[in-house]
Amino acid sequence: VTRSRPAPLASEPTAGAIEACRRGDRQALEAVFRTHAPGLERLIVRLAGPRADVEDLLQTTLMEAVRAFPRFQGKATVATWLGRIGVHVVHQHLRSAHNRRPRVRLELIPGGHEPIDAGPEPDRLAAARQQLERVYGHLDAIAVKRRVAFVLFALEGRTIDEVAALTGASRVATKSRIFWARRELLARMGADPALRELLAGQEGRR
Amino acid sequence: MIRIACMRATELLKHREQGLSDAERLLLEAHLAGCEACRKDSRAIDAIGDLLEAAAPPALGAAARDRAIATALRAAPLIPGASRRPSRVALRAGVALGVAGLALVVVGARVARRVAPRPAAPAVAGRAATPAAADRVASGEARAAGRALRPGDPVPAATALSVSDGAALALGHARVASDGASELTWRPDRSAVDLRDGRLSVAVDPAPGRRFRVVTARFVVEVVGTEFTVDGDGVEVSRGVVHVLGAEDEAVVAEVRAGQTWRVPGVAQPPSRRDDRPRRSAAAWLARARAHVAGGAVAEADHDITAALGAEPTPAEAAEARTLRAECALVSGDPQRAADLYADVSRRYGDLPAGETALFAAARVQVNAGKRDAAVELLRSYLDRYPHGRFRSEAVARLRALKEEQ
Repeated sequence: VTRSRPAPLASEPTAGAIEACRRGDRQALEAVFRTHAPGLERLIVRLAGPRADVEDLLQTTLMEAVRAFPRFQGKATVATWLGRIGVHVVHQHLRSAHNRRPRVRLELIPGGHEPIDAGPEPDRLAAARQQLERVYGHLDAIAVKRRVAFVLFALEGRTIDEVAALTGASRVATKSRIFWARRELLARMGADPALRELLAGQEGRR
Repeated sequence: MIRIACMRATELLKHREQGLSDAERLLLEAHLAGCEACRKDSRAIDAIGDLLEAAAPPALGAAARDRAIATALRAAPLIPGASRRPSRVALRAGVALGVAGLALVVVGARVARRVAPRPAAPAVAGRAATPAAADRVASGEARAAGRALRPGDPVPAATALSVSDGAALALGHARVASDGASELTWRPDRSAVDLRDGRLSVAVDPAPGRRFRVVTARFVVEVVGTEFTVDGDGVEVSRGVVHVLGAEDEAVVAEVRAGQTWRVPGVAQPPSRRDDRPRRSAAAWLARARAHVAGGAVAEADHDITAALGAEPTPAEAAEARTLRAECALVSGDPQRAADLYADVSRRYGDLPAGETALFAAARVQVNAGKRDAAVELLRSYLDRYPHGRFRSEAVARLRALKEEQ
């Protein structure tokens, strides 16, 4: 699998376009949203996991952006600023889910006993999806701030500085969150028979 | 500190593919030579990343993105101006204090004053006799001024309606279903439903970009495009965002998002829903079904798939629903049924990507089940139909392998 990296930053709108967005000009807002929606969607999927209602979270992020644009000061790029809103929306969603919703019981998620190969076969894809569900099941058990920092860094490919900017945390706090999340996730995955083989299979390929 | 060194190594590992300086490479190699933990961690993270790349859910698609953008833009007029809008501090305080805080001040005082149900506004002459063409009874029964209304009958405006349990009304750009018997009045001039009694499930089409309101005695629910359930005591949102406004001054009391519930202060949480009738969009049902399939909850997944198919799905959504049903059969350990269901998807949706995938999936299931003849037939069918298909090389290889086995 060729790992894709976060999409390169989309072109920054002109100062005039940003000013129009601040005024609530719909055409200007729409142009900015169309440019950045795919990147936001990817960010949301990575952070929230395969069970999330991505359309809903994207919509909420954009609504927050419409609301907040008058206060946009231009200290960060529009991409980073929108990403920060997206992270905040997912953070709230995860916190709400963490506190209110029953989690998927990991023992009910089948699969993982057959190592995944690189083939594109649909039933292998189904097995991979089940393993991904298990991974996110373990992520659900990790404190939301740690989880968000870890996913942005390790899976979304952001730098420490970018993660810190997106989450509004210091570099030190960001590093600490990533460290503890990674440690907890790997411990959980290592203890999960359905994922142990995935990790072993990866080891064998190196 | 070993932790800092390991963290730095992790950072360097992550950027290895994008190029490191010589100094960074030396630093990394020196660290990895003596740190088995970092080597192992790095492989594990790579494994998760690869899994995510391979099995990530499909992208939203242009239509869904357009919908999200359009809804966000159309919501702009709902956002109060700077002078009317509660300060961020006030909003935060409201959130922090929940129903005991801001809501108590804005709504709670009104609760005491307005114990009696809000009286229905007088009917607007002429409106009752000339309902809009879109305003009609969609299913079930309702009564207006002592007259029974049946599916297809127009819904009179500004007239008290008694809606029976399970009945659904198409009102403007919304679909309103009664959960239990409800008493309401439809006011098309304000795009609002006055709910006097009962509980409603409301799905508002975002496309027109107009707001829709449900007015209760103690609060007002205002939305652009979303799905929610409302009664006289509160609102539960299943999709999108709704604003709860004070009944008199229409100040924003709360903003309620998907998955959240807002109740009038002092009111207990509602009992759980009495049934599970479809109130969601096909996409929402499919999202639930996917989670159930992944969780091995086949019966629940099957229920949601049926609901998705009954919720006016697009062809792509219907194809996905039927593909999920085939996956259910696989999870249940019934490969023959899975193969039949995949084949059915390929017959129905042969022109969609899901149809192509399903045909190859049917072949592969038959290969794994040892049904050689059926597999050969399906693989040939796949190559005939999709000579440049995504699984062409695998289909050719499997066909060749099956012939060699013979």
